[in-house]
Amino acid sequence: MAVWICFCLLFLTGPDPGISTAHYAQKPAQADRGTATPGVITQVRARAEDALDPGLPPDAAALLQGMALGDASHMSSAAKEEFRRASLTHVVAASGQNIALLLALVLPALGLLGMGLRPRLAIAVGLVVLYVPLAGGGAPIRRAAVMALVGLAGRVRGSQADAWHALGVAGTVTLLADRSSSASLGWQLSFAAVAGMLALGPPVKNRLESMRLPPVLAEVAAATISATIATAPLIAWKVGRLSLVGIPANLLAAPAVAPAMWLGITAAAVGQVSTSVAAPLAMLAAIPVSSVLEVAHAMASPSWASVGWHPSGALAAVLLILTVFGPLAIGHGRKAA
Amino acid sequence: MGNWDRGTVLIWGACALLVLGLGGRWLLAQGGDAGSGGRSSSIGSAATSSHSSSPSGSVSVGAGEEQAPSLIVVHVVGAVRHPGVFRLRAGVRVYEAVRAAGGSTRGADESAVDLAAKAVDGSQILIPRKGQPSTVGASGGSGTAASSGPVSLNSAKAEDLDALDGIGPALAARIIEWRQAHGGFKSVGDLDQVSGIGPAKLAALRSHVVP
Repeated sequence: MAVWICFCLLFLTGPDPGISTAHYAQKPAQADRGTATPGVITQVRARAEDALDPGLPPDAAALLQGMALGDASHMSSAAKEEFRRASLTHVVAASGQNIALLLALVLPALGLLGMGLRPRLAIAVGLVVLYVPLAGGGAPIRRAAVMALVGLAGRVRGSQADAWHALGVAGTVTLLADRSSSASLGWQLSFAAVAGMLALGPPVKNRLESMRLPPVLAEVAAATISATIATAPLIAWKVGRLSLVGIPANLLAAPAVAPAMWLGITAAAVGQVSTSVAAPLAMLAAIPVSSVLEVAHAMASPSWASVGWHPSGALAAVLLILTVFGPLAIGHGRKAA
Repeated sequence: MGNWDRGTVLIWGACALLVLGLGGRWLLAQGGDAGSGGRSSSIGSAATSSHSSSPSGSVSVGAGEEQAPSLIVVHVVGAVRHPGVFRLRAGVRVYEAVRAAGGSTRGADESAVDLAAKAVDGSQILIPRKGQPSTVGASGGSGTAASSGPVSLNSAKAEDLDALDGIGPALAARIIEWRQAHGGFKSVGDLDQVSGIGPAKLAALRSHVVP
């Protein structure tokens, strides 16, 4: 609770959340600032980028790089526009999804090798810290990294990390580190998405499971749906558009996102040592990557896919609060009853 | 994994088929259109990916292009915590732009800048350090680097371009015209496309300009 009070104080005394739509990270040069060996990061990224492009069609290579490293600069403007219309941009932005998938890949794999819990968690912490500058060091991934680290620290201590607490810590830490974050759209979206997933996710998941969906799929679908709903008012307020196809697009793309990111991250990692071993992995990644491209293309093509909507800041805030606190209030009401 | 029931297997199988089907469909469409330069999208410019890196390469909500009236883009540099390019609500003042950049640092000389002025779209806001000269550029000034270092094609004023060897006022105007018509120079090589600049002039200018 104390964490959330600190967070609110920092947020309310920060810059006006409405003045900025995005803080552009100035490419790897800025992300390197402050690290002891800036050249290393650039070299690692360069090798990763090489590994991720073994002759795939240009948009596929660009998207694979975007998904694995969070760098969408090589995507064509037409492809980027399709992603915006289909509300799939978050797939290429380095965010919590990258870290969650990275950990979901590495922790069980290390477990299969027989590593104990503590060494695995320690390695996971190291990977998260390394991945942030590699993925551009932007506000969403810093937020996600702090959340992940809090969660991992909780597991090391043996306690069940409370996700809301982790979110509060992540918010406070990122605001302390950079007071202008609260005005940055990337930071705001990142928060709204996680808050939405934590609040709306469980009820949606229960609903889906009662429709006999396997738990993993229900979890992914619930996360997707709740994040899309939670971020929609914010996007409409700052950008003036509402994607009507966001939920179906994200659901159709979801089965492809995890394999694409896993293969991409693995290819980028293997490519540090050997590009030829990484190449087949990247080629394999072409299939799920192309699937995402196809979904974006198909979902974005109707002219009604994205409509203009210009809610005021107040309305957007009210909608976001309803999305987050509504389910929580209903849940508490049920428990009390 | 052994205790999956038929329903679960079917659903996972359906997911795999979905991914394979959609992916295959896209790849085949690429193969078919390879000659005609990529699949056209209903959006419009089916530009193939460009491998140049632009300063603001993040995908984040770039819909500002369609929303020109209510957003402005400013470049905040100098004694601020997080210098960079920011998209702000139209009508904000310079002090809010400085806040967006994390506020000024300790050595900043705020008296050199009019913090109450409206932030101008496309301008560079320079907060000098105490003892440094300041120039606040409107519509693309090159700040304190006016007389040293390469000239930025995308933000230079006509006089700065004119000052380069081999570029006179008419050519400078054409460069700016091309810049506005095409949304900026992605690389120095694009200069070739401005009428009046051929390979020889481009080679001569290359070391003096940046995009």
